[in-house]
Amino acid sequence: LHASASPSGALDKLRTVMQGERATSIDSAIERRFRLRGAPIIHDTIDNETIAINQLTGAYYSLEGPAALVWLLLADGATAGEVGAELALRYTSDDPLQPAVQAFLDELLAEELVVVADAPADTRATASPGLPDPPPERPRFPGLRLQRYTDLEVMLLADPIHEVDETGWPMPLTDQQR
Amino acid sequence: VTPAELVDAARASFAEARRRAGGEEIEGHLAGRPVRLSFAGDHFARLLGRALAVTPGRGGDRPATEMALALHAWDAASTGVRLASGSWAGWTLTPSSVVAELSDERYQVSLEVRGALASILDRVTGDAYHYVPDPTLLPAWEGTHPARMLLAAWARAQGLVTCHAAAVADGDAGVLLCGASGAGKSTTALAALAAGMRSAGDDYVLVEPGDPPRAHALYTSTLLEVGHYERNRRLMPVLDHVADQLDRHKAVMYARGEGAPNLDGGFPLVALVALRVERGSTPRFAPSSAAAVLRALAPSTLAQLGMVDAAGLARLADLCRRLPAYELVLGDDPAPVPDLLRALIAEGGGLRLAATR
Repeated sequence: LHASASPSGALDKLRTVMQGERATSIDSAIERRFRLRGAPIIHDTIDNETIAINQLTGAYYSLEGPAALVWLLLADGATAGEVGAELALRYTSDDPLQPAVQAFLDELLAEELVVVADAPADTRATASPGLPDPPPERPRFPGLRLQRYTDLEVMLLADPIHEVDETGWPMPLTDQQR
Repeated sequence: VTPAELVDAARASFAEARRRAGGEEIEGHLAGRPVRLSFAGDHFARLLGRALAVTPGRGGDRPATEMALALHAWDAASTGVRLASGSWAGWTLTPSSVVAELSDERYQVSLEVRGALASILDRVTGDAYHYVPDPTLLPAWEGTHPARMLLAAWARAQGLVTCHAAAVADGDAGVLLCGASGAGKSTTALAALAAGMRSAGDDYVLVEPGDPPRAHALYTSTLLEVGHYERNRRLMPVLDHVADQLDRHKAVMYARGEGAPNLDGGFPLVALVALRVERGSTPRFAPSSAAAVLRALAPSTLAQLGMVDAAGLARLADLCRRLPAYELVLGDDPAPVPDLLRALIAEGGGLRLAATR
């Protein structure tokens, strides 16, 4: 797919824009490569929305639109810079996209949905199955949003198979029990 | 001990329990597959015989090899025979209560409720054993939805998808109703039943993938918060009511007996419906998406059954891709809901308000 070719040009352009002492650290940041965490995180993407579930905590997540695209790119082994460049191909924005990408990746890391990959920077897959084609006209960048749902956490942590109240029904843990 | 040795031990223990305490058998179909339930003692005959949606079939001497599931259930308290499994100490329990060292592609051995319930499934032969030392130690959900981990594993081996969902039908087609506990599955299903529709369950439903997917009943039991039961008492005549549960949090009913809803055969699904309660609203459909239905379906199925892994999620996602998706906003009064569902089913899942795929 186009993703492995065209982002590099955009990356060069990005680097050209970056001047001075910040360039090294930014280069380092944009070359960070991530991978999806794997178990206990399971995920699927439908209709431009990714659902990810943490099997241990019961927390589940929704990533829509560009956020789902970021997820697919990370699954393909993209670096932070390649993610930003891919988004730039698909969205217009008055502001640089890379800071939003970095913040979003940090959020994914904090939620332990992705991990920093050890692999060298040239190991990205050559194709990105599942990536939708870019739209003919680029819409405005709506931002990257990770929606976290916790409504099932209490029941899962209660472990309905094991934890029941005196009448036998599954019960959430109390604050004291936690 | 190996899984095969454990199956042998369970077979011998069950035979001894049967010899000592006697027991009965139920033969019929579950999700269209031939099954035989064999009991030693009367505890599980009462429990599984009432709660499992087995459509009675012909009795007789069909060979075990013809059975997709041959479930043997007994308890030690009434039969005096324990499962001769040796010590369970030291084995590793997964979050889904599966004994890791004794489970593989062929066998699933699980130990639930802190050891108060053991189940063994041989996916190749369909042989299954369900054993409890003392039924009084079992929690209430084992009475209303017995052996659900074992049956979910069996269903998966059969290519079925177990969903934490309700399913209702009108005529020859139906819809799957998705949502976590409290989303309105039971109330909606009961309202549909009271209006003359059919149901394949209000909490757990088996779905046969295909084009179209088909919903099958797994249990006959219906649970309602006691408050809901009181408010919806008029919906209840189609169900046998177990009065002794009323002092607990939930009323438990079983679809058995005269006028009980038709649970056999299953029905094709034409749409997926995510439920949402909105107080003060008039019930209505709203556009939704496959992803939104997956969000309503997958996490709660995981929380209930603890066995949605990546492959299980992919199966649920595939189901969501196959059918139009809607949101049904539920108000305070469930009375208009059956007509809404009927209209959706009559249109083959193609309401104009723009379901998205």
